[in-house]
Amino acid sequence: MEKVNIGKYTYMEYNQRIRIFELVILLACLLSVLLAIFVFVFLSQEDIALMSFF
Amino acid sequence: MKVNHIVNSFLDKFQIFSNWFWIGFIVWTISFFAPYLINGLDSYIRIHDTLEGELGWFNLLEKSGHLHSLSNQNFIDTLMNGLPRNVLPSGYVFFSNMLYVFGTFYGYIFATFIYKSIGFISFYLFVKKYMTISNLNEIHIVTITLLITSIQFFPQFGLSVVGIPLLSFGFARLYYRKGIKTTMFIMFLFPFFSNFVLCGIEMIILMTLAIIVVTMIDKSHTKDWFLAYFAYILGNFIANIQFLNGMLFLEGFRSHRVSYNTIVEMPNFTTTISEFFSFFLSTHYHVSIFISLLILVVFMISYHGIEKNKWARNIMMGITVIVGWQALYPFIEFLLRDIAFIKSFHFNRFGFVLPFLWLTLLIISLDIISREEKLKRWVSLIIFSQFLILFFANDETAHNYKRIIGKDNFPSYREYFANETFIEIQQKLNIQKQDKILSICLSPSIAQFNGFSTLDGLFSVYDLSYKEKFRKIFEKELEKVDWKRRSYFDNWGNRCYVFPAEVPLNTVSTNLAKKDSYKLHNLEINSDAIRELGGKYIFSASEILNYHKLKIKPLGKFGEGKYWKIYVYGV
Repeated sequence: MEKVNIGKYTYMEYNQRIRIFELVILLACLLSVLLAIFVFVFLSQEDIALMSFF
Repeated sequence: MKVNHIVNSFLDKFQIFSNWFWIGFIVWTISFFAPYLINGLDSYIRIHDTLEGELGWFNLLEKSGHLHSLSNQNFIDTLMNGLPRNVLPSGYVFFSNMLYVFGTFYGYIFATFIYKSIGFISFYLFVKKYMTISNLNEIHIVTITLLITSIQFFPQFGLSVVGIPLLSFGFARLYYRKGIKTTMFIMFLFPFFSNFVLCGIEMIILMTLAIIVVTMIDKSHTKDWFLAYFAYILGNFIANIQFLNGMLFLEGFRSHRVSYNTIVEMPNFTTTISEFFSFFLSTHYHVSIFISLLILVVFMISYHGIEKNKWARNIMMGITVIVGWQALYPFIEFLLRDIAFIKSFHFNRFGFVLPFLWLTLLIISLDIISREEKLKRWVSLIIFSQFLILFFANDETAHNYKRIIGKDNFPSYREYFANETFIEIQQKLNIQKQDKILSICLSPSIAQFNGFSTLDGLFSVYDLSYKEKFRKIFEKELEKVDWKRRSYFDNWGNRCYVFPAEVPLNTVSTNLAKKDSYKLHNLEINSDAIRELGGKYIFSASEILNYHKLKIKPLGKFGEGKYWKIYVYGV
């Protein structure tokens, strides 16, 4: 299995990279959604200028 | 037969819009109007620079009959010592006329819907006609282009932010040498739908640079670029003729902006870095609170992990240059602080293109990611997450949805202007048109909106000598506070308000001393200075407990149980 190449990567390396990408995407989505909830719950007009620091 | 042909060719133009596009448009329309239909006049409309700013100004211009007047001899007598009409925003742009035709509340809502719809349609057309998207399906394209309707923006600035796809569409037509008449039409009309200061001047600078490059590279194609350029300049000239007339020919008027001194010390490296990342990850709230962290991650994966796309790279470079310029601009402002023009006009406002650049980067990056079967399944989640963050970072949306579920503690449009309370005040005290009002802990725009003349106000331009006279009213209060707070009035001063030292600055500047939440125990204002400027009454959202020392007398309190409890004093 390890000898099958996809581009410059072996099959295993390729799968590993994709898995890391998936994990990073998942984390970024999770963080964004949490941020969205935080903003929704705590956002106020007074914070509008501070919002630019998120 | 001929009519048939015209109808068919007209319908052919709509073929580019898929069924998914129309479904998206319907969903967007319903989601936009639903909160306003449910809340009615109890909907939330942004206070910051909106209810307290532009919406109030247009209301005053309409009432004064000077909305469309050109002459520099026209003044709004009910404001300060008489504010020249031509220092206020243009009456020839779409937004002001929407308010004129539909009234402040409905005009604002309809204009917002139209601007965002133009943004969505033009972004979709731009992607379909001028981008090569081979891996994303139609639903993904529609939902990504729909993201532009979710962003927080200031409708009074028109298409300056959400309309950049339309302008890019015009530029793409120039680049691909499409019919110049349509392109000129877009370029000419755009200024009537956008803001001269936020986008017009900057776009003229960018177009000038583009023309220099085009002239140097492709000499055979310069005619079209010049025609589009002149159409854009002509549009700007006509749309903003009042502003230009005032700026160039208004005599005996010195703007308070010449005394701007917002950068008082050499900016340090830490502030610059923090400014860079803040602007990079969320832009500026006047542009939009566009949180871009997720797009950055998606770009990194697609560019560094899959394919080094040259367009993605160029867009990221563009974003970095704009953000870098913004972060470094305080150095320029500080070093050139003796030049009045540099102090009064901010040349760092290129950020208005950032939301469009980020969304274009997202669509390119997602298209590359979709090439990998295993990553393709994440595309919908990425778009949905980005939608959530934009949707909820939009203060108006958030407040309106909170209002529906009964959780909002901010004033609605009706509560903010408190029309009933002011009718009651007028009926009881019979205040005359020439009697000027001073507001304390309450935005002067509220009294203005309700038809009273005011000594104070939020204006982007007003007379410097008036500012100096106004300062005398509360100079003792300014002496009590630290230099930063003093600087807010002295070195900036667009909010020409009385700032009592006992109330936090952010509370006064955002006008949120609601429901009798502060008492003024030791207010020191100069009632002679108020009288000299024509002031007869004080409307205060905070009770002035030491009124007997100030030579003012209480005339009553109004709005019991309402959002504002207003104490009225005679001067």
